[in-house]
Amino acid sequence: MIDISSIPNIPPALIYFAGAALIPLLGTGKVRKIYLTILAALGLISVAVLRPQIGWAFSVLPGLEMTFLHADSLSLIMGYIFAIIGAGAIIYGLDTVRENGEYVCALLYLGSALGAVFAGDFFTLYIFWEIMAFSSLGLIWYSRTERATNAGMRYIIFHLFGGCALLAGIIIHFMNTGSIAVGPVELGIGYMLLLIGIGVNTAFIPLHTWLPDSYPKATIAGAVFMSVYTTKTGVYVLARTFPGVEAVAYMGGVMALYGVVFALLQNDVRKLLSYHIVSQVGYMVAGIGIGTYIGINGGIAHVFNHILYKALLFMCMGAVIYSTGRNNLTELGGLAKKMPITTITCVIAALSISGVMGFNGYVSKSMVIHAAELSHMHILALALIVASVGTFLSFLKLTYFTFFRRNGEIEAKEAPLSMLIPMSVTAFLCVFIGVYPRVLYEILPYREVALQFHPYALGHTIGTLELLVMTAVGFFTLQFAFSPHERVTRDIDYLYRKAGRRFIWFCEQPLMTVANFIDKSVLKLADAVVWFSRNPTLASKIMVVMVGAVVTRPFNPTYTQYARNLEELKQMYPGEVPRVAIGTGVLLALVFFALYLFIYLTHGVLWV
Amino acid sequence: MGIKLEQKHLFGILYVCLAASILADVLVNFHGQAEAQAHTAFLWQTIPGFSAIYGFVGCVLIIVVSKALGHLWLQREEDYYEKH
Repeated sequence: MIDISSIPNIPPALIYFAGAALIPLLGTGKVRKIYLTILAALGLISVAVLRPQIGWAFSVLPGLEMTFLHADSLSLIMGYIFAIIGAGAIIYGLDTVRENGEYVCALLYLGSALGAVFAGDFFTLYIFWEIMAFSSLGLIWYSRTERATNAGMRYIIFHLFGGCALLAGIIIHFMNTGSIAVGPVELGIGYMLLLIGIGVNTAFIPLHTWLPDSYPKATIAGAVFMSVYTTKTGVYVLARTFPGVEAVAYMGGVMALYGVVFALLQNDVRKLLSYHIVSQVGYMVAGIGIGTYIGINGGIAHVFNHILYKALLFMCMGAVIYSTGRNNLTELGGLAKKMPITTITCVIAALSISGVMGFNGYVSKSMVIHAAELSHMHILALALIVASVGTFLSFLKLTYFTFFRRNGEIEAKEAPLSMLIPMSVTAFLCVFIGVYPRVLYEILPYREVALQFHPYALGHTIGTLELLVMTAVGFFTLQFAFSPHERVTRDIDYLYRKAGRRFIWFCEQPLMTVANFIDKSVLKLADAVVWFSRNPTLASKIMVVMVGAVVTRPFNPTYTQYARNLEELKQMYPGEVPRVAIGTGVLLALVFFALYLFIYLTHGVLWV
Repeated sequence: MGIKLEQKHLFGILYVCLAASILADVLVNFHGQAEAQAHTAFLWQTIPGFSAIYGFVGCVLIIVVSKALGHLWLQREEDYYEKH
């Protein structure tokens, strides 16, 4: 037996980053498959051997230390699930990923997410946060469609905004306290900015629109990666910085309901799943906002379980899109016999997310709801229960219209083995944790509290059963209301798009007019200066004569002398008045330096 | 014809399950186990069959709200964003 403590611990991010660097050399053949499988295993091992510790700290500035490996019970559970599903998603992509660049992006994304959860301070966290945003952008753009390109642009604008807010919040926090350890923040502007920055990644309403906008347009494997890391890293940081904030708890309730209502209106299967990410992340955010030991346990347990079934759902829908080329519920159906394994795994994932007993969603969702009840947040608990009714409706709809509805003209064959293996393993884990929740409870941050929670207590189980059966009755009675339509549903993104268009109009019309005017007048001024500097003595003579000619014209008949003089002088002067753009630049630079000098001399202390 | 028969069976099974779970709920309630949990839970959770009622209400509410929002306000033709 190998002694685990003898293996030197390295930050898992490093392994994936190093792994990504070699990908471009490998081609797209068998070598890449073997390499990636080994890399997935290595990544898993690197996380599995980690023990609670602090290491890999580097002093960058006096008083500023960056810590790349800060492992405690909270970051470890995040690390475990990130690495497990990362390995699954890497293998899932072996046959669908055509370009190596996509794998580079995926590995950077996976690595930076792990880097973020093991970051010991805010600055390290911020660096990985930004790498995550840009590497995941690649996963959208590699689908190489115009819609994906545009959605990617909107995605990155949102995340840059969030990143800026986060950085500003961190700097304010650092200036106020002198500490950059990841932890609760004092009230103030920094608090709000941090909340907004984290809120963008966690898909707070109304900052969520990037999520259902971009995920459905990502590549098949890319969407599986994306469904896991961005939002969950946000939840992790939220658990570190904002536990027990009541507003956050209610935001969770709003997200849970909002996501469900919009999911029911979607036709694109992956868009439906995306809205359910918003909804499910709502449960986690609620758990963390409640902030009691059991609340945070519930939120983090739900992160773990959600990653499993949501990645599985994205895998299944990716398999459907891969083998049929269709992504709309109106065009799908009848796949149950043609893709049996995909169907079974998808049904397992659907039962898990709906919180059916015996599947993993139940054992964490009930914990969050229980936490809300214990903290006497009655409205929140009721909202979360309604959201779970809506979730079940939604997934009855998804599985029915994708797999079981009759559709004679659809052609499909079962997905390749590289997809089916991770799907089956993930499905097994969903059931395993549902049946034997102790496995999960053992690794939760507040272990003792978690082990006292019994999800299968009789009263609670029966209540859930009633709820679910009633929902099923409702679904089959009101089936007509669920038929999908070929429609697009506008979200708050409508307002953002409108605002964006207004902004561009403002830049192109009023702002450009002003800019052109300034440009022209500055140019004239510059031309005059250039003209003058060619021969200053002659130029001043010309000017004097010019003035003389103008002034003496009404009084003195000899003014023609001046005029003649002026003509002669002008001809002597070198060259016409030139219209060179470079003059503008020089002048502006001069003006800038003059201003700077002025400010430096007057307010020198401020600028040093 | 085949579909109708299947649906009938389905509803049969669902109704039996529903009745059984409510019955179980009532039994558990009388047995006093719910009493033990009552101090932590809501008052209305001690009502037998509350979950079923709430499930029904929630189900109808979500369908009505989402359909109303969608049809009356939010939904547009598929290439809406390309055109506008």
